[in-house]
Amino acid sequence: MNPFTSGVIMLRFALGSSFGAAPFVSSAVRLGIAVGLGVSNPGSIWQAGDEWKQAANQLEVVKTRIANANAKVGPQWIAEDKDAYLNAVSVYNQEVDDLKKYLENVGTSLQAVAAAYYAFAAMAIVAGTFAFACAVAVGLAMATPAFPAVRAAAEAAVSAVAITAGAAAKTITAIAGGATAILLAGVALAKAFQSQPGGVKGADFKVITIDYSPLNGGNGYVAPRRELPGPAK
Amino acid sequence: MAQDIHVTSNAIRQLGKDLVEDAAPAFDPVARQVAEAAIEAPGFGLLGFALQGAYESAQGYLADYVAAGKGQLGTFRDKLDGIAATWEQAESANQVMYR
Repeated sequence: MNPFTSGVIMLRFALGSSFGAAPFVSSAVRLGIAVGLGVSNPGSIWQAGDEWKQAANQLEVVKTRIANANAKVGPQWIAEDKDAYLNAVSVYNQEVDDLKKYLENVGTSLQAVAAAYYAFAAMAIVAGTFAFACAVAVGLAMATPAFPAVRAAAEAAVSAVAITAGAAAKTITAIAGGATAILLAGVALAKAFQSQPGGVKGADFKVITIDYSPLNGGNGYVAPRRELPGPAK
Repeated sequence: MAQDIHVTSNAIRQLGKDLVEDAAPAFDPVARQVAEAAIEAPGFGLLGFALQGAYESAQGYLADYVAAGKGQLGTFRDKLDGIAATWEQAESANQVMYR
């Protein structure tokens, strides 16, 4: 058996024996990235995204029930103030639709962020375990004739760990994208919540009103003059 | 041309009641899901720590917003009650009285 073959065998042995070992990271920077990103809870982030999406779907129920209530009153209310009411409901439904889109967008952004964390964690574990295995192999081979071959193979292999840095960059980009989406959505919501009619986003829930002022604040029907008819001519 | 008018004040009041008692509770699961959408530690990790704060504030805004959406249906109900009362008043004022 030539030294290179035995070196590769030892490397494989080390890889197998260290499978599941804690990721070994050689530099402080890599350790910082791995801890900073790796110690996260992507499962919880994903689940939160799912909750937001489910909440979005639930809003359809609100609209359906309002539509049912409107259908029920039907021909029992035909007047101009009903038109004013229906206009208000139309604006209200638009607001519900906007809220639904917001919930869906944040849910999707959260899941994209969670996926990036998952990808990074998987990459970091594989790369870290591999680097650890290489270090073990080099250590085992130190007193054997295979040492130079094992070291060369290990050095070549460990350079692949640089992928971790690439994965981290991708993760950070994805997180930044998701964070931006969440932050912008939060800011938009804050503005909408404080908006006045004709403001940044127009009407929000609190300013929607049933406006029948053209009917002079009432329904426009006033009491007739209660006077006795004059004497017959 | 005269507008067709047909109004049952009871129907208007019932509409307000339906909005509050049937439609408004449909916001409750939304509010619950938003509250349950908390991201548990370590959340976004040490490097994403700032994101946790942004997320929680968005969650807070949303809770308020959903509450406002639900509350607005109560405001609609109050308005509808007012409209019903106005129609009742008009009807009463237009009753023909015989002396």
